[in-house]
Amino acid sequence: MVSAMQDFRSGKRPATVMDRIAKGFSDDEIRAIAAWYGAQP
Amino acid sequence: MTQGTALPSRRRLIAAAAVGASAATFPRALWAQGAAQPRVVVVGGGFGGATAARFLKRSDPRLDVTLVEPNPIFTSCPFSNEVIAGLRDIKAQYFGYDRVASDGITIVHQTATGVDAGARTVTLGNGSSLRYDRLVLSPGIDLRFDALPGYNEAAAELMPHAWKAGAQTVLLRRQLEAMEDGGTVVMALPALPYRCPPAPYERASLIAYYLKTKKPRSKIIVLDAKDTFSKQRLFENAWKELYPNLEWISLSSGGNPTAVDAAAKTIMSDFDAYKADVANVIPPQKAGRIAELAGVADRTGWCPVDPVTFEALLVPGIHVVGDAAIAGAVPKSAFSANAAAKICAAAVAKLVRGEPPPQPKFVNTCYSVVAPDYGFSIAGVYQPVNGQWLEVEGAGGISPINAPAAFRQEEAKLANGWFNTITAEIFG
Repeated sequence: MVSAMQDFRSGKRPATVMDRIAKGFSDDEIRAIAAWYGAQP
Repeated sequence: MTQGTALPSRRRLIAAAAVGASAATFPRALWAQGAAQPRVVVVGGGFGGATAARFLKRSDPRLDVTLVEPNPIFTSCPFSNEVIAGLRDIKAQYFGYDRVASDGITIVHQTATGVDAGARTVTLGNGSSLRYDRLVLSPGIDLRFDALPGYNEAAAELMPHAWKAGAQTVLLRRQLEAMEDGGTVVMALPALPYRCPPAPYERASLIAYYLKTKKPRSKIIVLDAKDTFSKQRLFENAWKELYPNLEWISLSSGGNPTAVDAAAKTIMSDFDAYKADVANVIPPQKAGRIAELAGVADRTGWCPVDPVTFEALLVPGIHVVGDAAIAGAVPKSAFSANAAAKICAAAVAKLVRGEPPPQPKFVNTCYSVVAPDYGFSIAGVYQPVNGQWLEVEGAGGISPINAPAAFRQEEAKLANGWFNTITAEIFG
């Protein structure tokens, strides 16, 4: 998930809107988001 | 991962993005182990209020949560433009509260008629009252029937606003259906701020679609109190491509609506009078009535709030989310009402126990559909800076100006996906 978000941010991964959204989050925040998902049942 | 599956994830990350904690210290709550559970009352069961109620309970299942909403069925504004254009049944806009209630939330189908912030009580239409430790208001908008000369509640029965979904939506649809081919539809649009900035332009587009496909000798004229608007280049390109029957007259071209004559179905602008066969007048707006009664609205008619907690700046203990709140750069949309409600719920769940609220950050995405297979979006990422919600620079923005038809088609599909996801989260 961290690399998917980073690839959206860099434009490496094609997107309609996730590229625009991912640019608003730092690496730390992306890691925090991934950690939150990882903790969900 | 397709974009379709990315959508729910993006909204769920709002909770995840609430990282870190405020450095400020908060007084210990009066609540203690063994005492009655903190009581939170939420007023308004739309995108903001229903989300707030459910996420309060999810943040802390011990909270005593009551949702006050007079209507047994919620009618969604998002996608009501499709109903007006005949592309969707009004019934697809209806949502009930059964699943909200099954979360352990008490639902009271009454109108909130007053708030005593000192006694911390909400008065209801049946004369009873509810005590609260924290109150969340999500009253949406009221139309200002004192702002555009000639446009009052009686005029709205002849020239519908359809800016609160329900009977008004159906009325506008029926008028369009009844109009003879060759007729003229006139829309009057307000200045900002109002509910859902791009929605009037989506509506104009979809009415143009209906006319083009069903009443090809007809036209639509849009009288606007503004010179610029959200997703403007995308809309204007689509109009050029699809809708020669749509004429947009900006403020500086004399489009500003200054008065209406409902009996004559005429809208006056700075320079002209426009006789309509069907008129759709979207008047200026303000926060829903209970905000004013609770004393949380300022002279603008809207409610200033702390961006971290959505607590009203004018009255402590009362939080305001959704269209009624002034949230800096954040547009008034169902998406942002839903996000604000999650942030507010997380903050309130902490505050009632004397703990600091989490630091929020969130995303807003707004799709517009101008034809069944033609959609585009605007997105923004927001965070509080010095007490204001500001847009994170370098992020967000609109769909590409030059994109192939397949891209527009994909975004039209994603718009539907967004609606199904957000309504399932809130009411399902």
